[in-house]
Amino acid sequence: MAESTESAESNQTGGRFSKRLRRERLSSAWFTVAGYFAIGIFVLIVVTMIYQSLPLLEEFSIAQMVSSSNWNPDQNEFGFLPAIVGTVYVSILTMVMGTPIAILTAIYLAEYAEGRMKTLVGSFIDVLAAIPSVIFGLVALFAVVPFVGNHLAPAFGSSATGQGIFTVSLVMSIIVTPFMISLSVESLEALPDELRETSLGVGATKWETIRTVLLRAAGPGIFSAVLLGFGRVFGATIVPAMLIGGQTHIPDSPFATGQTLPTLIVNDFGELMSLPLNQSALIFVGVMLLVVVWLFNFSAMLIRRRLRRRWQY
Amino acid sequence: MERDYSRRSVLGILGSGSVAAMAGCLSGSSTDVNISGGVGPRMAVETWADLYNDEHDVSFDVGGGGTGVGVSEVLENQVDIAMMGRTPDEDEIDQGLFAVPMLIDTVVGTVHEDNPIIDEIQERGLTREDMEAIFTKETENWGDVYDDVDADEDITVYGRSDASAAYQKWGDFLGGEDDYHTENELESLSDGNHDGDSAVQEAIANNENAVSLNNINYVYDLDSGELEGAIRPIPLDQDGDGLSDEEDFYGNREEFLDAVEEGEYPMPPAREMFLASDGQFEDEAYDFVEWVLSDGQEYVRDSGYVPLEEDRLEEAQQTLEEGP
Repeated sequence: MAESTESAESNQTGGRFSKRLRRERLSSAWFTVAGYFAIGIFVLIVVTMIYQSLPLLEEFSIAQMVSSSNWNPDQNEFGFLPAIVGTVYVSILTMVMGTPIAILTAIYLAEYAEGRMKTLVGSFIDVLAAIPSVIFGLVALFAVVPFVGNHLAPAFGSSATGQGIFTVSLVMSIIVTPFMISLSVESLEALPDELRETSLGVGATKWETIRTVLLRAAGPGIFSAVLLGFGRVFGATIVPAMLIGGQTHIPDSPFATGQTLPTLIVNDFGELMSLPLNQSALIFVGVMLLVVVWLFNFSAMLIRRRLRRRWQY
Repeated sequence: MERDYSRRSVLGILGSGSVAAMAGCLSGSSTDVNISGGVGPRMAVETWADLYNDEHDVSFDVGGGGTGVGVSEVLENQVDIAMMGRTPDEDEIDQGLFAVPMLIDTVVGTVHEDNPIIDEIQERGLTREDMEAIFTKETENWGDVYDDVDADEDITVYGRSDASAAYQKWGDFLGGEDDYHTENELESLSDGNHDGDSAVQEAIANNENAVSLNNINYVYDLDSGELEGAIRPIPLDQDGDGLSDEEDFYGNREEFLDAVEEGEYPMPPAREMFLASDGQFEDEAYDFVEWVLSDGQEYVRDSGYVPLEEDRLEEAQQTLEEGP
C-alpha cells in the first residue's frame, strides 16, 4: 500500500516534470522555427526574383547587359550601365558630402555637448531621421532644385536645370546623416571613461584624445555606421526618382541628370509591368541591387572584423 | 471605487474586437467591381463609377498603379477591369487581354505664362516642325523660334521620367507622319525629366523659359475650365501659315474639347484610352462597360476628356458584344 502511494507520488512529479520539459522543448522549437522563417523568406525572395528574371537572361547575357548603355525597353534594348554608373556616382558623392558632417556632429554630441544643448541637438537629429524621405524630396523640388539650377550649377559653368546627380546626393546626404550620427554617437559613448582619463592624464589635449584615441577605438562602430548609410543611399528610391531627372545616359558631370537602379524600376514599373520581357528586366535590376547590397554587407563585415583586431584597446 | 474589470480583460476585448473588425475587412467587403490601372483615365472612370453606383446600386473600387499594373492584375484575376492609358501591346493580347476604347484624352505643349515670346506663341502658334525642333534641341533659344522676334533666353525642355503613354504619344506626334521619337529618345534629349504630370506642371511654373507637355486637366482649371495658374498651352499651327481663327481654340477647356471632338486637334497627341479585361468582361463588369459605351459617354466631358466619335463608339460596342 505504502509502495503504491509512493509510486503515485513519483508519477505525479514525473508528470509535472515532463510537462515542463515538453513546454521547454515546444518553445525552443518555436524559436528555431522563427529563426529559420527569416532565412526562408530571404531565400524565397531571391529564388522568386531569379526565376522571374530568367526570361531576360535567356535572351541576353549578363555581361552584355551590364556593359551596354542602350536602355530602350520599347525596342527590347536593356543596357544597365548608365543606371549602374548613376547609382555608384550618387552613392559616392553622398558619402563624400555626408560622412564628414556625420562624424563631426557625432563627436560634438558625444564629447562636447552638455546638458540641454545635447538633448536639444540629439532630439532634433532623431526627428530628422523620422521624416519620410518623400518629404525631403518635395521640399528639395521647391528649394534645392531651383537653387542648384540658378546659382550653384552656373557658378561651376554648367547650364543644368537643377535636377541631377549633385542635387540627389546633396539631399540624400541630409537624409542619411542622422542615422550615421546616431550610430556613431552610440559607439563613441560606449567607450569606457578610463580611455579618456588615461589619455588626458598623460597630457593629451581633448582634441588629441578624440583624434588619436577615441576615434580609433570607436572606429569599427563608426565605420559600420558609414557603411549602413552607404547601403541606404544605394537602395534609395523616391528621392532619386523625384530629383535625378530620369535620363538613361552616362552622366558626364556632377550636375548632369542620370538614372539609378531603383529609379529604373520605379519609373517603368507602373506602365510596363505587364510586358513579360520588361517585367523580367525590372526584376533583374532588383536582383542586381540585392547582390550588390549583399556583397557590400559581406565585405563590410570582413573589414570590420579586421579593423577591430587592429584597433584594440 | 473598485473596478470590476481587469486591464487584461479590457485589452482582450479590444483585441478580439479589432480582429473581428479586420475579418470584416477581409471577407465582408461588398465591392462588386474592382478596377485598377492607369492614372490618366482614372478621373473619368471614378466619375462613371459614382454615377453608375447611384443608378444601379453596384459598388466599385477604383485603384491606380499605372496601366501595366492594371493589366497584370486583371490577367491574374485580382481585379475585374483594367484602365489603360495606352493601346494594348501585342504581348498583352497574346496573354488573353481584351480591350475596348472608352474615351479620348488630350495632351498639349505647355509653356510658362511669362515665356519670353508668349505673345507671339499665342498669336501665331507653333507648327509641329517648330515643336519637334524645340523638343529635340535643334532650336535652343527662344529667339530662334521665329525669324523676326527678338529674345535671348535658352530653352529648357522638360519631359517625363516615368513611362507615360502621354509622353509616348507626344513622341509619335513630334515625329510627324510615318515617324516617331521613342520615349527614351525624348527623355535623353530633354534637360530634365519629372515623375508625373503634376511635377512637370510644377517645373514649368517655376521656370519662365521651360517648355513641356501636359494633360489638359493640368492646363485648365479643373472646376472652372479656365486658364489659371502659371502654365499656358501652345497653340498648334497645323498648316504652317499662322494661327487661323479655326485653329484658335485654346481659351478654355470647353472650346478645346470641342476642337478635339471635331477632329481639329490631331491624334496623336490626342489618344484613345481603353478598358480591358481577361477575356470577355463578366457580369456586373460587362454591364458597366456597356453603360460606359452608351449612356456613360455624355459625362465624359465633365471630367475633362473627349467622348468617342459616333463611328468609333459603335465599333467599340460591337467589339464588346462579340467578345475576344
